Amino acid sequence: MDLDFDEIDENKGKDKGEEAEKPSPSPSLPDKKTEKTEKADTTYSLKNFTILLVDDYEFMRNIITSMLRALGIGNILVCSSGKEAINLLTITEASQRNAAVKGIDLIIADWLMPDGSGQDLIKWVRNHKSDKIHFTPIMMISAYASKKTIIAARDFGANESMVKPVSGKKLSKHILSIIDNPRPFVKTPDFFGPDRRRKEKPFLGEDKRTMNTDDIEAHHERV
Amino acid sequence: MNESNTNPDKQNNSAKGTSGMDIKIYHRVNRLKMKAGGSLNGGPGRLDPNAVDKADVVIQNMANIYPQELQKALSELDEKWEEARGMAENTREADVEMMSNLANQIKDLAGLFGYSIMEYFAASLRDFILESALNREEHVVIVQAHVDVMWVVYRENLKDDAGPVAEELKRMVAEAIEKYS
Repeated sequence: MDLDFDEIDENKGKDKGEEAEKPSPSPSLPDKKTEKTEKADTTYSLKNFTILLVDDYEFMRNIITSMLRALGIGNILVCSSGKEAINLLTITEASQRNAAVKGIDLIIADWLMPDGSGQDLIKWVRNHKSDKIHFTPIMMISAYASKKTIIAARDFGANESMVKPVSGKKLSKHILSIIDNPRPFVKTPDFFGPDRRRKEKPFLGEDKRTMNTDDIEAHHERV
Repeated sequence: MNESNTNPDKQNNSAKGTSGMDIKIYHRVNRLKMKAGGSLNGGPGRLDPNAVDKADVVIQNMANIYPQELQKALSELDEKWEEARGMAENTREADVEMMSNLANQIKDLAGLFGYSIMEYFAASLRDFILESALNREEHVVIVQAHVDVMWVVYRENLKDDAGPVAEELKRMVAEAIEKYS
């Protein structure tokens, strides 16, 4: 079963209590249903991508690394724990002051690891003061298919959540989702991460949201 | 590109809300799409289907390593279990974590290569260890039942979680859980 954020969103639409704490809808959120009907017009090349893969199980690390290479990822860094990944990210961020050093484009991390879990890693990334770190897309991979784990990953600030076992199709689907459907980052007193709603959906009953657009400070990065 | 545009400390365009809540939304430039060769105004892209197939072939090519990798993981599980069993209840915390992690790895491994019966018992063991923390002596029987059955599954090279043998093994473990939980 490949339960992911999409399925969670489907269920969440029924939970209006949770919606009450969310900011007003962002006008930039893509409509996933519309996107699905769009024909892919570009074949992406991932040769300039740098991915940090974090998994404590060496065998799985090797397999996923080979799969990412097969998908054309140019640069793959590997760590065996959340702690090791944090050290690497710290060094990379410091080195990036030298413009020649490239940053990490995507973190793929296992959820359950003994020495610094995926959860610890996401928390660290999203709480980091540097833009170069805290906006980094994160894909969680987990052997747990439970709704609870998927929601936890989302609420800690993961962009994507992939349930094991891995496959070429699943990996490519989630990488494409990160490339094609980036969500704006939301900062609230108790959350920082990609907007937890992946699509705009009408809901039944009373609108319990307490905020209006005046409460939201929008930042648009320009090219 | 102007990175500072996303930095709230360098801007003064905030509106004062009525609810007093501090909410910020950052709309970032999609650098990944640009890096992948896509256009910011273009539609969704795709990955080369041959590359996706190649990624799946990686798994197929590793399938012959599964038995030896599984044996290694089961032996490690045995070793940790020996250590944990020799310790007093409530002092098994470190071993409990290691064992649940090993069970989780076995689940990943079996799931990857489609050995659903091994995946089933590994997940069952992992979840039982995490829920119980192995803090009662009776839990020893339940873990032992899992470990024994997983070795049987390995030796008999069982794959599917259906069929009379699989059902019988599942029943044995379920009985142990029911009796000693």
